[in-house]
Amino acid sequence: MIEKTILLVEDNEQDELLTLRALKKSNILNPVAVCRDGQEALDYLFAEGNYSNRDVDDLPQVVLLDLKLPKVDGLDVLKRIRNHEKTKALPVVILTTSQEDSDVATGYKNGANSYVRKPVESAKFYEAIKNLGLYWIILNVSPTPTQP
Amino acid sequence: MKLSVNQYLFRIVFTPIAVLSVMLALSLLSIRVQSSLSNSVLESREIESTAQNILLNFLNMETGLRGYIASRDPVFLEPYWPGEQMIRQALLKLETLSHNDAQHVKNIGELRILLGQWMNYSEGVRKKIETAPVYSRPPAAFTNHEGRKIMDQIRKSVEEIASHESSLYAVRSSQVNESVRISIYSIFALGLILGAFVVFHLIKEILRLGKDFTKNLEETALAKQALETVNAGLEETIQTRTHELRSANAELEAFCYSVSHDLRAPLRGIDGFSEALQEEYGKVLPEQGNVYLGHVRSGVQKMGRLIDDLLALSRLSRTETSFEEFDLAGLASEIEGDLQNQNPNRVVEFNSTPHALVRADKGLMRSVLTNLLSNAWKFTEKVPSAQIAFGITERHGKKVFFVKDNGAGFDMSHYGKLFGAFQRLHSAKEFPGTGVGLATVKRIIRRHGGEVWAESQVGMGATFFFSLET
Repeated sequence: MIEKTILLVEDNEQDELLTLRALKKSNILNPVAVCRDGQEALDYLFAEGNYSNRDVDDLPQVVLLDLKLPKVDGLDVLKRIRNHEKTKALPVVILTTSQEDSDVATGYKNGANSYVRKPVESAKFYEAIKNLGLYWIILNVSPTPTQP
Repeated sequence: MKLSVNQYLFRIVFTPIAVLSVMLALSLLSIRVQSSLSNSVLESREIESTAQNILLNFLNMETGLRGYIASRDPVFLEPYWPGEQMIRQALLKLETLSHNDAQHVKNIGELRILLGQWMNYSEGVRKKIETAPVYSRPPAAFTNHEGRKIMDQIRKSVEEIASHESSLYAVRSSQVNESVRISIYSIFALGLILGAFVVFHLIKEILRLGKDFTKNLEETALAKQALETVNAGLEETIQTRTHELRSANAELEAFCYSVSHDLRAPLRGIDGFSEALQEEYGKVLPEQGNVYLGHVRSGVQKMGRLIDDLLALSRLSRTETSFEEFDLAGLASEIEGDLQNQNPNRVVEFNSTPHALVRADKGLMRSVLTNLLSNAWKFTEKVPSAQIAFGITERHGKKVFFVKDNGAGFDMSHYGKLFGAFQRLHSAKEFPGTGVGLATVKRIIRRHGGEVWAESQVGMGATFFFSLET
């Protein structure tokens, strides 16, 4: 069985490396596509721009979405995903530094499936990624999106 | 002209009293004058009656003498004998009553002489009768009307006394009447003056009060107007300042928020890669290298906590409060249970008041009690039998809540730093912490319109008090 891709939308290179390492440590060996900003993520998902050669029906297993992104920010990316017929059921996990309750609330309101705060301590970060992988990649192979 | 209270009293009270006193004195005087008049009436009557009495005595003596002459019976002489004596006494009395009036003195003198003349005459007649034979002619002195002539003079003198006295009386009474009239007029005039004075002052006072009242009204209206102008200005200033303050606050919060965010990302990198280094290359690093990496990581983690606390503190000012009624004592017990679960090896005696119903933001109050109670736990760590209490007391008539412990306490001379952000009264080695907790507590209590303060002594524990206005 071919493992499905995980889409990581992250502008911070260090966070990207750490996330990749955390996934590897948690034995999540799916291929990971990385987008640096919101616009790139949307191009990837809808096979536009630099990704126009991609198969539009080949959706990732899960999108790990940072909120603070250049060009189009995370919440707008989320809204676009939910508004599109093809992607409205796509599992999206918000992965962010923000501790703000309002950010969490807005995230869920816009149809995020889960919300992970990136802690400073790497041990906690690994644990969070591990739980995330367990739920969305291993246990929940055919996710049913929750509509707001 | 401004009058002092004393001057005013003098004018309004003492002046009428003085005028009244004069009136009273005049009345007394007129009464005395009138009573002297009635005395002089009595005296005049007495003078007249005494004068008449003298005449009566003469007549009695003459009648007795005549009877004796006619009958030679000595019985008729009975009124004759005491007559002279009685007339002399009456003359003395007249002298006293006449008060040396010239006319009276003259008449009294005449009467004395006439008495002597008449006595000479009567004694002469009587002795002749005594010795003369019965039925002889009455003596010549009697028949030539010598006695009658003397008697006419006596009658004239007595009448003069009476008429003179009555004229004296008329003069005296008219004088008295005049003085009484004058005093009555004076009293009346003074009464009029007094009345006019009182009425004048009353009117003056009423006018003055009225003027003051009008002036006060005008002043009040002016002051009100001025106040309204100032108020309007203040309102405007307040609105401007509030607006400025709000935007400054918003800027500050946005700055704080983004700083906290952006500071966390590189820290995560430092910690993450240090961890990766430790895990993947720990074996090839000398032991000292691993120790250094440990220091790097603990420093980073501490900074991470500081940023988290800072973020929480800044979040406090931005979140909307929602007030509800709940039991603060229940919340305290709940937090205490959590703390016990987090520190299973510690034994802490916790006492709480059974109920403490408040109206506040529950989430924020949870943060307050968590901070105060976890501080209490932290600072009783080195005490053999730790005791922590939550309760209600009263200060200056207001309900006040407190969290009390018997821990390390603090030096009150550093009290000024206690509630400042990132201020710590103990070294991190002694008691770990970021120094944001009490600043958070203060912010929350202030947002509830309350006050927070503490009392402590080194080694004797600390008590944190807070009030809630809502």
